[in-house]
This record gives sequence, C-alpha cells and structure tokens, in this order.
Amino acid sequence: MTPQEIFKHLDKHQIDITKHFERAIEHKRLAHAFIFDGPDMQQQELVATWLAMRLFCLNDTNKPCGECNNCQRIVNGEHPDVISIVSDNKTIKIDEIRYIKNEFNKRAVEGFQKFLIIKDADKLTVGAENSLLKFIEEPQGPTTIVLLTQNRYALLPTIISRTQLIEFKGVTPKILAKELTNLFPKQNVDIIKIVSHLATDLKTAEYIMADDWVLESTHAMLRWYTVLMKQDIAAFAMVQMGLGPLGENDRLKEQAILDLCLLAFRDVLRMYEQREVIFLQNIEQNESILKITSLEQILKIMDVILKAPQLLKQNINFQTIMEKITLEIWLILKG
Amino acid sequence: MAYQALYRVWRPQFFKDMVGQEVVTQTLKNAIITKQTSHAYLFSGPRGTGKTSVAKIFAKALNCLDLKDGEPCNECINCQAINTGTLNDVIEIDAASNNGVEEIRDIRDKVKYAPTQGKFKVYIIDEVHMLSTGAFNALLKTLEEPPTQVVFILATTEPQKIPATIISRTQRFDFKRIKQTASLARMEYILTEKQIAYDQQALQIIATAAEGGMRDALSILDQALSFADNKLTLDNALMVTGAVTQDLLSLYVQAVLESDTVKGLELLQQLLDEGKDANRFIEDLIGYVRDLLLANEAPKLVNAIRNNDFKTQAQTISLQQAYTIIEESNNVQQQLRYTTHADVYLEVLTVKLCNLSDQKVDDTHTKQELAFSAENLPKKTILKQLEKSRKDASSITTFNAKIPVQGTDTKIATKGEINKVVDDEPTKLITKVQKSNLVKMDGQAVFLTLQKATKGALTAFNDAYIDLLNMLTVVQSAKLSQAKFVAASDQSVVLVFKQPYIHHLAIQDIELQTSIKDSLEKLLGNEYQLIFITEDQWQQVRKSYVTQLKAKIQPDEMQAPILAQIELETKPQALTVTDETEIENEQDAINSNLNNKQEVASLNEAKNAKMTDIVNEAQTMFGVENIEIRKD
Ligand SMILES: [Zn+2]
Ligand SMILES: [Zn+2]
Repeated sequence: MTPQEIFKHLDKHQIDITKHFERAIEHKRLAHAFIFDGPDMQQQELVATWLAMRLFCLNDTNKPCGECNNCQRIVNGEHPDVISIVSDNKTIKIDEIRYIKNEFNKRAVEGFQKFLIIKDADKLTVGAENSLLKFIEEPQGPTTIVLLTQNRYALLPTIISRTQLIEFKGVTPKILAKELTNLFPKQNVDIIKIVSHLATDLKTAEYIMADDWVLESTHAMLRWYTVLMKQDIAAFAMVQMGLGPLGENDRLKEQAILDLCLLAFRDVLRMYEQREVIFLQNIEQNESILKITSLEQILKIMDVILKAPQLLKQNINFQTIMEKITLEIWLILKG
Repeated sequence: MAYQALYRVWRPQFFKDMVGQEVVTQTLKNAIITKQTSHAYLFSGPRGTGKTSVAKIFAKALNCLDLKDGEPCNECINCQAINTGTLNDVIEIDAASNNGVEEIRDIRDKVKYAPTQGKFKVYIIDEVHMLSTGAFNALLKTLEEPPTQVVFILATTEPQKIPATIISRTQRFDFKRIKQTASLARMEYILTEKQIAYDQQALQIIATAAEGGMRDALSILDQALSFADNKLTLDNALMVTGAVTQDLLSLYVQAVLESDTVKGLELLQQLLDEGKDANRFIEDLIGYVRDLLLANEAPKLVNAIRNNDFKTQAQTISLQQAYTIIEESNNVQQQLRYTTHADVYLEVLTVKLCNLSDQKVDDTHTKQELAFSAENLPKKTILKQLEKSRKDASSITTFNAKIPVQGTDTKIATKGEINKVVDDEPTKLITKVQKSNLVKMDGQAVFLTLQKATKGALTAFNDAYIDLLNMLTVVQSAKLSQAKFVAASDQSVVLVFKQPYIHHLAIQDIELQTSIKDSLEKLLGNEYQLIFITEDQWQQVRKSYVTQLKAKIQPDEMQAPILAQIELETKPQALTVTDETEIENEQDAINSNLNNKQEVASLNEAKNAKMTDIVNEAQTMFGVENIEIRKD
C-alpha cells in the first residue's frame, strides 16, 4: 500500500486508535512500549507503520505527510532506525532478540530515535520474552517498541504489564459485507453474506471467497445438517463424500467449514430462543426440529461443535473431526 | 524529552514510598539500623510488587552517607550515583538476558575486590530463575564463601525454579500482591501530586484490573490518562481496561440466578456491542462469582469493591451454582483460544448458565425461598421452571450426562428430597478416581499428625493461608477457601473441608493437590503430607484421639478409627446403609491394617457412589469422560 492508501484505510477503520495516538503525541504522553492485539494482523501492521511515520516524519504536523524521505522509506521498509522483526519460523528465539538489542543499544543511525516492531510477538520463546523485559522497561535512548499479536494471552504477564495494550476490534459482519461489496461489486450477494459471517478479517474473507467454494461448502453443510437432524446416519457418509474433501487439506477452509457448522447450530439455538436466524432461514424443517430436540440436546450438540476447532489446532485430521462430530450429534439426537 | 511512563517516574525512592510491603521494608530497615544485614537475599513475589524497587532502595541504604532512620537520603553522592546508575559498586544483572555461566564467573572473579566508592558492593540479579544450571552452580560457590562488604539480592517471580541450595543460603522475603486499597491510595497520591482530576470509580476499576501489581496499575493509569487532557474519566478507565462495569456484571449474574435467558442474552449483546473483549468478560465473570463465594466464607479476601446487589447475590447463590458457573466459564475461556467466533461461545455459555439453576439450585433452594419467597420471584422464572420440570420429568440427568438414568423422578422440593431417586434397583456410579499419593484421607494419618502436632506449626500454616490462596488459580482458591487447617506437625497437615461436596472435588483434583503442596513448600520451606478430611470426620477422629489420650494409651498403641462415610448433603434420605456396606466396612478395616489406604479411599468412593446426586454433580464438574454409570 502507498502511504495515501494506508491513511485512507486507517481513517476508515482505525480512526479511534490513530486519533488516540495523535492526542497522546500532542500531549507528549506517548508511551514507549505497546502491544497491539487484535484478530486482524494487517490492521496492526498498518497502524504500527503509521505510528512510525508519525514519529519520523520530517514535516512537523500532527499527521504524517506520507511524502517526505522518512515516510517513504518507512513504508518501503528501508529506514535504518525502524526495525521490524518478522519471523517465518514457528518461534522467535533469544538469539534474534539479543542481536536486535545490541543493534538498538547503538546510537540511532540517523536522527535520534528508534522504532522496533515485533510481528507475531506470541511466537517469542519464554527465554526471548524474558530477555526483552529489561529492554522494554528501560530502553537506551528514545525508543518505541510495538509488539503485534493476535493473542496477547500467549505473552508473559510481565511483558504485558510493562507495555500499553491497544486492542484492535474485529470487523462486524455488517462492515465486512459492505467492504466486500465495494471491493467485489459483481459478487453474488449470498456469498458475501455468508463470507461476512464466516471471516473476521478482510484477508481471510477474500481468500475463502475465491471461486464458488463458499457456496458449494454452504450447500454441502446444509445438506449434511438436514440429513443429520432427521437422525439419519447417512449424514456420516456425507462427510467422506462431501464436507471432508471440501476442506481441501487447507487449514483456513477446514476452519471455515467448522465455522459453518457452528453458525448453523447457533441458529438452532437461536430458534429455540425465538431469535432471528442467519443461516437456516430457508430450511423447511425448522419447525419440526424444535419439536424433536430439547434445549438440553441443543446445548450438548453445541458442546460438541465448540470443541472442534481445538481438535483442528491439535492437528487431528479434518475428516476424522467431522466424522466424530457427526456421530456424536447423531447419538445426542437419538437420545 | 520523551515521555516517561508513570511507573518509571514514580518508582519509589524511599522504603516509606513502598506500597503494601510493610513487613519487608520494616525488616530491611531494621537490619540497616542495627547493621545486621545478610550476605544474600531472595526477593520473590508476583510481578510489579516492588522487588526491584526495594532492591535499589536497599542498595542505596547500604551505601548512603547520610542515613536517616534506615532510609537512604537520596541526596548524597552515593545515593545519586545509584539513582543515575553510575555507582560501580552497585551492579545490576538481568539474568534473563545473561543466563550464561560467564557473567556469573565474572562476578566470582571481581567479587573479592573491595567496593571502590561505596560501603558495600551490591549485586542485584533480576529474574534470577532464568540462570542456567551452570550459572547457578557458579553463583552457589560465591554464596558459600561470601566476602565481607558484599550483598547479593536475587529477585524472581518464580522462586520454585531456584535450587534449594541457593535458597537456603539466602534470607527470603515474599512480596505480596498489593491490596486494592493500597494501590488506590498510591494512585490517588500520584494524581494529586500531578494535579490531575480523577473519577474515584475509574481508579477502582484500574486497581481491580491491575490484579495486585503496582506497575500494572500505573501502566493502565498512564494509558487511561493518555486519552484525556489532564483528567481521569470513568469511560477512559473502562475503555483501557476493557473491564465490564460492575453494574452490568451484576445484572448478568442476576439474570443467570433467575434463569432469565432473554435478559442474559440481551446483556451479552450489549457487552459485545460495546466492543468488550470476550476473554476479559469471562475473567471478570469468574472473578465476580469467586468473590460471591468468598463473601460468605472469607469476606476479607474479597478484594474488589462490589456494589449493593452483590451482597444479596452472595446470600442467594449456592455453592454448586457458583462452581458450575466458574467451571463452565473456565472451559469456554480455554476454547476461546481456538476460535475467532467468540460471540457464539459466549452466547452458548449464557444460554447454558441461564438454564443451569433449575436442577442444581437444590441445596440452596430453601435458602432462596427465604431470600425471596415464590411470589416475589419473577413470574417468567416460575413458569419456566414449571415448564422445565415437566419437560425433564423423565430424567434427572443434567445436560452433561451421557446416559440418562431411566425410571427416575424429579421434584423441585425441599432439601433432601431433591433429585431423589425412586428406583427399585440402586444405581451404581463408578468414578475412576485417579490415585494420588499426594493426599491421605484416613484416620491413621490424622492420628500421626496429632501425635506430633505443635501449636507453632498450626500457626505457621494459618499465617500462610491467605498467601496460599493467592498462589492458586481462581478455581483452586475457591475450592480451598472452603477448607481450614486444624492440625499440623512439621511433616503433615490436616485440612478440613466444611462441605463434603468440596472435599469430594478436592480429593480428585490432583492439580489442586500439587499446587497446594508446592505452594506450602515455597511458603514454609518444607514438604508436607497433606491430609484431606471432612468436618464430620474431623469431629469423629478428634473425639477418638482425645478419648484414647485420656485413657493414657501410648501413642504407638493408639487405634485410629475408620473414618465415617462421607455423606453429601443432598444424599437422598431413602437410601440406607445396607449389610453389604457393613461387610465393606470390615473389608476397609482389613485393608487399613494392610496399610492400603488408597484402596480404602477408593472403596469409600464406591460407597458414596450410591448417591445418584453425585452422578449429576460429578458429571457437571468433570464432564462425562471420567464417569460411567452402571446399572447392577
Ligand atoms: Zn513525512
Ligand atoms: Zn544518601
């Protein structure tokens, strides 16, 4: 993204956070260490870049100009005093942190300040985190440290207590749907609606929206659901033939199918509470389902569904998980 | 100049500035005044409780040229040099980034040289638990033959990771979590000094969110202040902490207690619309319910400041309800780590919690009737309960049960009758009790303790009680808060559980047992055999002991009684002890003589198992995996 695109995006989506930083800088109350935590890593990266531009911009206004040499180099990742740690490995080890700390304890190459971004800070090993403690608490010279994460609960409490936590909110389905409609005006309305409920960030949304995959998966899921709710064990076979292969051995897609099931059964729960349903609007047997299932059963089914994503994280084969779910739900329905 | 975080600017400079660590600071001051300082100290305690700050103040006091009543002057050249980090005799080592042996060897080499400018060489080793084994060994060598004029201060959040050989050579100070009132006072002081206006409720929210860490409190305060010009508002505090307001939490819990699903979901939606973090909400909910539990048993431990409805709720909520809420919430919190659809998880949780009470309020049902009689209950709730009991009439199982027990009948009725099983054949429950050697549950063990018991030992345990609770997880401390120490020797300790039901949970909770054992070892420096019994059993065994004592029976000839069966409160009265049980009792005696106490314990379990109530409870608490129901 160009600086101008970044500004536009942030004005639209993260205005609260950028305003907060602007105010803090204006009042000279900007802290030196932050955790950016939220479901959509891209948002956090953009704000971190924006913040670096704001601090380094050569034009002295309350907003970064996006034009000057510093702004340009920061966007292109070329500024020597703005350092980003991005690791493709599973963990970020203590050696990498030591190296960075040494670099940081040297004087700033240009100007007088330094800026450190650690992406996926939850990948830091415990050793690496511990070695950051003192550094974060009392960095040498004017330094700003930003840790980006999608799960701050994976960080040491001692790290969190030394930083300011900025929470990024996920987008609501409504906003996501609007965004997607803008980006893909020709896209099928149903697809956009489904995707906006499935995904919590734009990147994932775009990814699972490709081709007709979502539509196909939703239909497969609804067929499976209908058969299963009739207590027909044929649903078990449908996993192997339909839902399983649709996972395409792709973690994101597998997760999306599990989420489809989650949302479908959430609707059953909603029906029970006489609230609006989202996915199951056109299902004929809605009425009869309520007659044969009790709230207890629905809650038991929900327990089964809610536990599934954890299994996926534990690297259990997707089809096995779907089969397990199917069987368990079938048993619950049978009573 | 770059902005300095409050916790850095307001780092205490005098012992008297230290918040909530009076015992530690007083002891250190006395040592300075009487010139009886040790060579090595271990400062342990949770994050942000002032370990490093006290270490620095102590280093100054040791070197100050103008001591005043044990306090450093902060003005002499030594004090100032330490404050700016330029006194060569005060060496700070961050073990986390220097876990190599080299650095510690370096200390060993240089430690023998006398201090250059100060009076003492002070080594402050922060995060000392991060040292490698090699480094610990090197450090040990130095601690074994400490040169005069050298003081080591080891600071750590995880003392259990430090070798006992090191610990035994140090004087240990445990830093406590800072009480809310203390951190409130400190924040008020700082804000007044800075002439910043503040909302009192906002400060309370920050104090709660800080969980006993002063640094956390100041860090959050800092952030809340950065949102507004020179004032602290309630809105900003809520926004920064992500805390759910007391009022909303209290309404939510009320909805749960009244089984008002519609209201519960409505409140949840409100929370989500405000952009509250799901995890924070659950944490706050667990904290709130934990406090409801403590309010009855140990009101002193209720840390947070709660509103008016809190008291009524504390009287209304039953132990089981509270535990179920905590457990269910806990489960969801675990699951949240794997999903991006937290809202659905909370929705399900809410529906679940709002539908729990119908079958589980049993033991407080009478209590509830006292609190507000049936006509005061919202109509909807009553209707719902009626409808519910009709629906569920054929089954007493809760929604967690895998196999419904047939031919049973539920009535919502008086205590003792609830969940009564009208059934020809007894239903047998076999719990797969995990055998642990951590806990004993027999009369013999209690006798051994009583024979060696000392008042001092018991006092030590009671003094450590609150710290012990603080060292456990929320759920664990909730369980332990229902127990008390009644007798202790230097080898073992007897914990009595007032509620047989909690005892039942505790003896199966190996994690809880391990935590208690480890924490006690940390607190009291010794490994103890734990003995868990119920109040009734304690009365029984004590009586037997006293009788034998009065009869002047020699300790080694005393006969410990077989402990009475544990009767859960909700045990149906219809079930009586059968002959079969008596035979089992004799079997118990034989087993006991064979020193097979664990067997006895599990036999006891099997007997208790006759009570179908356990099925419900156990299934709710442990999930179905560990339990099977068999029909004989
Ligand atoms: Zn610029
Ligand atoms: Zn001085």
